[in-house]
Amino acid sequence: MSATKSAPGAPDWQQYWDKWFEGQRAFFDGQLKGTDGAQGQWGEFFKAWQGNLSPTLPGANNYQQYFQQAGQQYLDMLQHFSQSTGQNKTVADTTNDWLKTMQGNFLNMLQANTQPMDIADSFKNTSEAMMKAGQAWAGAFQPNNTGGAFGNPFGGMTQGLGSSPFGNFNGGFGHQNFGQGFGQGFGQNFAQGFGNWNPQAQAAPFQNFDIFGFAASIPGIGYTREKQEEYNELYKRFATFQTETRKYNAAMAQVGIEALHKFQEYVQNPPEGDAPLKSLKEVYARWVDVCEEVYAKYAMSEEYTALYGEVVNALMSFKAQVNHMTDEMMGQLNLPTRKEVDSLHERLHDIRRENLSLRKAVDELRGVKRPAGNTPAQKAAAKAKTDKKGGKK
Amino acid sequence: MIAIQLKPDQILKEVTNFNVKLAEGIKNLRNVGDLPAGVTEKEAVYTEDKLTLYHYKNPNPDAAKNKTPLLISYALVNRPYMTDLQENRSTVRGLMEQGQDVYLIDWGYPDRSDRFLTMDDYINGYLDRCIDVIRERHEVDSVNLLGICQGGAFSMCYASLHPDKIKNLILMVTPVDFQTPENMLGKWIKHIDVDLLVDSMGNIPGDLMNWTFLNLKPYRLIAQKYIDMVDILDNPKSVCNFMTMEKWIFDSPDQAGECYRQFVKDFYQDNKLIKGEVELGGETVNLKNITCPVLNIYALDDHLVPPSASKVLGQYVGTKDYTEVSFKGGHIGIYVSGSAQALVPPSIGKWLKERD
Repeated sequence: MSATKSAPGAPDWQQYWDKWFEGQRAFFDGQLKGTDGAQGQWGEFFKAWQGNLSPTLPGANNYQQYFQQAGQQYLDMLQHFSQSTGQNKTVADTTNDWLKTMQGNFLNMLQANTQPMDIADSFKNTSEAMMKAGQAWAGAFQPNNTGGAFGNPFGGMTQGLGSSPFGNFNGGFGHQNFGQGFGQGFGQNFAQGFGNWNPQAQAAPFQNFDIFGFAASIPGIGYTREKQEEYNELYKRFATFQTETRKYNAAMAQVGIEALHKFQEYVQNPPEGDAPLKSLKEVYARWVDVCEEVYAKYAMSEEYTALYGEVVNALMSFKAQVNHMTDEMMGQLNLPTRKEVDSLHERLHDIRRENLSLRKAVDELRGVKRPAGNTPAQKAAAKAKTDKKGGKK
Repeated sequence: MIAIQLKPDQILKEVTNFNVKLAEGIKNLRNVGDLPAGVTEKEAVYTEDKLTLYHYKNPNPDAAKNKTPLLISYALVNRPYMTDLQENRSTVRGLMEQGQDVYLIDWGYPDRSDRFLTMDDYINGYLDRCIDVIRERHEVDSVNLLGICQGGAFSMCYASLHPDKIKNLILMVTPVDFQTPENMLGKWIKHIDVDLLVDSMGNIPGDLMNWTFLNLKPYRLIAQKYIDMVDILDNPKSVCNFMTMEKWIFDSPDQAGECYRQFVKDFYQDNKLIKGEVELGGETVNLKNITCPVLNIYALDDHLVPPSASKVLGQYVGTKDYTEVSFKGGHIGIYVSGSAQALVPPSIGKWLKERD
């Protein structure tokens, strides 16, 4: 916390800030009120942008939200640091406060994705299945606060990138010890909080309260037996996708936490020869560099690629069942199904290939073949020869 | 050394500037207007289904031209106007200035009726017919083929299967070995059930492809890029440049399902290209069949196609005339950066002139 003050040969930043603060407080009070609105202005900016370029675009609000979240990290930092100018704080304390805030967000995300979840709560009955299926599909690509397998990785500002370099965190997520491991602030205890985490040991918390799953595992009977089976299958795939998504999001949060750790290390012990960060943009750029570095390492690991595969495959499996059930419904409504249209397209392409092949064969039979003896260049040479002999030009 | 040295007056100034630029930005964004999809005049000389073959008109019609026309085969991912983005950022123009007679294939935007197009349809069908059209127009046996990224992989397959129709082969940022250690996409795709993916999705949405690419560097491409954008919002020209690039990045056609299936399984998952095991139209693609001169251009900071994925080509092709050019930049910068404009088209032009 006191790295700034104790750095040998450094100017007395605390004194500078105190002096400056006392003399300029009144003037900047007005300015400060303005800077609190930076986040609002960022949001308004994208709202105006989207409204300008594509007022009727479906999902424009989602895009606005997306941009708002994309900039959130920087905006939070702006707000945090600008507010600190109105308080009697060192830059080191302000930095630590900012990092602690981010830490809290990462931990919230981690907790949200690792506490046992009542999956049946979001999927209470089969009549909701199709609607939920559509929402889950759309949600997979939309920003939200807890991630989303392919959602904005910056949802809630700090959704980071996951890794398991944290060892074996025995406290477990979503259990009573959860807070203890992380409750020590950001200083020297920071690393200790994550020192013993082992994702393999934490498999249990990813399990969901699956009350409905019990019912879904009972085979269907009677006249609607097949329908029951379809919905049961849909539910199972939905539950699997939810579980995989939560694992993925938790891993993302872990990488975010590791990035925070690395950034704190950098702040406390910057490498020899590195220039100091003298603007918020530079601080942010450095933070992004650290995040990318940690993410890149994790994203290349076997653990990540396996996780990525699992979540994509779970999503696709879920979608396949949605497609199947949608087709069934369309059939009952006497409407063309995707399967039927695909079948027509496939046959059409086969016929086209066959047609091209036959045309080629006919050309050959007619002697219109192109290879040897009748290439474009030879034709050109023949033409030139004819021209020389006085043939028509 | 103190890592962070911030002064309150600087902080407030920075925040104020940020807000001012945002306010200015809206004005400039409103004035961006229509953004071009290619700037050089061109003529459609052949169309088939959603494909269009364009012939570029040289702004300087009296300029000396190579005898052999040059066809650019771009990737199915993203749109080919990246090669002709703006007047001062146009690989096509640079090539014409070097005396090349340039054609380009626009693959179009596949829809669900194209889901069953295969790699064979693209390479032995569309690409072959485009090359025949150019051969007929110029009355030549063979053309120069410039393949870019995935279009480069297609071009290698074509040159292997139709060596008599290719005089010189140029590849830009083209993956050859899809499983080098630095290849993030190659690793990510490893555990994906591609059959399930294609069977569930039909065509692969361009948005899904884009999201994957953004996630290669998510903090930079999803967040920092837009924070940095604020810095240029008060400059109308910079805003226009930014938006032109932004338009291109997200102008992403869907991928025909069956073609995607084979490309990802055979090239990424099984690395069959370098093993000589890719099958197209009943024939095997053997890179040793590529005996024409080959120019391989790769970008040293390419995060999509790492240099290691491209550089190995020399080991696999059959040609004795193999040249490499490296460019200090990224996958996109190789078409649009000032240094790329100064290096890449002249390098290609000189190399082709020596082999015309």
